[in-house]
Amino acid sequence: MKTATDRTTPPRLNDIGGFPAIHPVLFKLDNGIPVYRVSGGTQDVVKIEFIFKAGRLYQPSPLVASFTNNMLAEGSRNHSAFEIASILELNATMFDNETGFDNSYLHLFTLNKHLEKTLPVLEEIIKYPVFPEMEFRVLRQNRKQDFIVNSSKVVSIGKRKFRNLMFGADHPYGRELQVADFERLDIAGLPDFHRKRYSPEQCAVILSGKVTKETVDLLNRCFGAKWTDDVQRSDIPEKKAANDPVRKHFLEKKDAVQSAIFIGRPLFNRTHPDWHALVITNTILGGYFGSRLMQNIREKMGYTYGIYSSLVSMERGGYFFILSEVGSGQTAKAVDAIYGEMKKITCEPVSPDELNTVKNYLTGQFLRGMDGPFAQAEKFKILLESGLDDSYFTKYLETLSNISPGIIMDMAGKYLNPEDMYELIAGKNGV
Amino acid sequence: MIQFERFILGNGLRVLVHEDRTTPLVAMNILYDVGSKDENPDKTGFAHLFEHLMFGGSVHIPKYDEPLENAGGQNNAFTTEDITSYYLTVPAQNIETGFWLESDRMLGLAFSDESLNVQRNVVIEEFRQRYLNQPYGDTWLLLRPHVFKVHPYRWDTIGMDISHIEKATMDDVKQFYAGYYHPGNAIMVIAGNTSAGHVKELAEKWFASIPPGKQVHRNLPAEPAQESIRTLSVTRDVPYDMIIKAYKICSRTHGDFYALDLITEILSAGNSSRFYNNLVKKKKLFSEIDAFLTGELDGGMFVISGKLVDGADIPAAEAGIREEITGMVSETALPEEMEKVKNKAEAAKIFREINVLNKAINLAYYELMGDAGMINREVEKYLALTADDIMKTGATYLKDENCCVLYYRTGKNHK
Repeated sequence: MKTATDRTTPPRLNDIGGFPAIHPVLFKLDNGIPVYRVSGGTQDVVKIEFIFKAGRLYQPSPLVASFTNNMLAEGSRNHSAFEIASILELNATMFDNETGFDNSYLHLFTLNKHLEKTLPVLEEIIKYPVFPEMEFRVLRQNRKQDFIVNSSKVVSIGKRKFRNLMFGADHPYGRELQVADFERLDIAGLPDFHRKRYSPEQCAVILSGKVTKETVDLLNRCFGAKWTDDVQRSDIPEKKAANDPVRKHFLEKKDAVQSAIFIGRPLFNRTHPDWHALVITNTILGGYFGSRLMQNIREKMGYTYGIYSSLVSMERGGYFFILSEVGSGQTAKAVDAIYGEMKKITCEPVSPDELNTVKNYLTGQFLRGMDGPFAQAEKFKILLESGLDDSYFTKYLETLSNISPGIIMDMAGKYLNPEDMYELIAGKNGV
Repeated sequence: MIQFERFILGNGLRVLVHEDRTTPLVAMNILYDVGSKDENPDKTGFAHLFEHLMFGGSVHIPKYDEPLENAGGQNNAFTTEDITSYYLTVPAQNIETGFWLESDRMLGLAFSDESLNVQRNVVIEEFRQRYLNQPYGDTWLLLRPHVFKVHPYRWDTIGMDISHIEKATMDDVKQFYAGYYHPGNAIMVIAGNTSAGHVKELAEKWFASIPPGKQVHRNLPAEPAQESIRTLSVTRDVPYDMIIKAYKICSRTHGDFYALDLITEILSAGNSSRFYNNLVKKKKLFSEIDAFLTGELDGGMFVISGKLVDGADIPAAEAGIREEITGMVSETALPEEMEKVKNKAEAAKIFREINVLNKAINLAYYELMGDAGMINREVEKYLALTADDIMKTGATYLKDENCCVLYYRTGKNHK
């Protein structure tokens, strides 16, 4: 007779430490572009990501950064937009571009065997775009429509307004986009922005996956020579963020059945000495499913499908914010409950059990973030963008193992006081 | 190539193991063969509400999430028309925590009233957030009953109406659990840094003692063949008109699925596609337009969905789509188009083999469709197709009498 399985005692937990360190191999192309190589994986797949200092921070007027990036694949010296798309897609190569606050990104993701045909196309895209008028008009119209559709979503309008409150209308992080910005956008500014910002001096590459010597050689052939004469770094002056003096704001959307609640404040980026401890504190408050906000506002009160809090790191600053969409009738109660949780974390020590769960969860998260070359490349990108080295992760793991209820309370008291927060509700009024 | 081992426990639970020693993780997926198609028409949205209740505690474990987080794990779940799927990843050292948690909720739930009350509200907020508070958010609530008149695919997984969720009772919960949540109605896949031997041991220890349930016998009404084109027109407070054309097609498991899949690729995948070049760029009828298959097991939909560009009108836009469909079913695709979509199918297979959780979820689904081994062989079906095949298959399905059109009109006056 077998004895029955004991189902009330959880299985013994094992230590999950012992992480692979991220040590990408750094080499330089002949023109000095740094290339970081994260090799590994089981499939013959490779990802090549170009990062340029060409984000919104550097744009002379709204939309220039993202439209320049979007237009790169819309026609080059030797290929039409259709030819570019056709060669990439014929060779099963996923191409994408993205423009952030600070940087712009272009990447290819494909099977190694196709790279010989498609990397030269990326070369055309990055080095020799011609910005054709017809493609520009189509793109501008379609992005404008997309913007207008998004403008009827409480989260989209709230996000725009909230950054505006924290950074001010004159700061590149805070300026709110308007429909008129699309109409005013002039194609003439794009080639200039490209010339100034898409140069080897402002570029880094991350190669991940099964990286072969052929790939490295090919990369150097396509991108290793000088391609622009405009070599001076065109840095922009530091702009002081201007916070709104009024703390509480409301953005009306009459027919909304839910309101989006934003509560947060400007802070610092990941180079700040308190960053790691604050990340852990934020996780307890609203950074995972077991967090206090999720457990209280969703799992106890049932006011929302989801609530989370986050820390955002940019080159010149950062911010903390809580976001939730709640039924219009419950907005006020949800806001009170959120402040209640913030107050609690600043004045009551976290229990050893809760802290232990968060530590284990974050250790598991770290492990998931290191799973395979593509995940590791993403982690490494964080270091590269913030000018950090891999002692950043060592410090994170140290902070995670040494964190105490006292440190959590200290962090919350310093940075998560309800009185320091901006509050924005986007939705229906009078409820 | 994804290699796996398969064994079946005495109680009928099917277990698949895929070993991948390059990851520090283990992924676990349990697929229950139950979806919104198994709901009572008066109590729709229930399979999905039930998915939420699966996290509200089981016979021996008061809360599902916390012990898993404590083991460094993470989890989620989803419900479709056909299945309900629960998945987690956990550091390989703590794989047993996953077995403990999943076996206990297969053995029995806590059936807590509090959990039912709260999750009813959470799901109602989900309904509001995803379907009511978004522009075009009710599209699928309108489209499904327009396309399906009899088959339970006629309602969306969220349910026909919020009132159905409000009315769910604990008796409904218990009945649903007894009917569908048992070993013989589930497929479990373990993928990652472990061995088949270890998984067998753990499966025996944690799952073998769960009593078998009654085999599920489905008797779903078949959707009758459509005889003529159907149209539905609604007006909403959205900025632009939208057209959706939905053609009823075969099951995900039918041989015609692959040709139809390639047609959606030729029509709408990427900036070299026909839709993008002809309808967006050249004719300037749409700001965005897409074609895709929904892939249900009892017969799905070939959907074309496009938002009109400001200034274009619905008749012209619809004529534009019609011309592309006619081109697709009366002329063979170009050789470079065929090569393109086949290369993509080949690459997609390899991309699917990268992530351990994706592998687990896909293996379970292919096993449900008949054989997990198909995951490695299916690409051959795509590669074997000729331009003539896809033209003929397209002609079989993409005809007016098989089409349901939804005109989703803006209530705003254009300047």
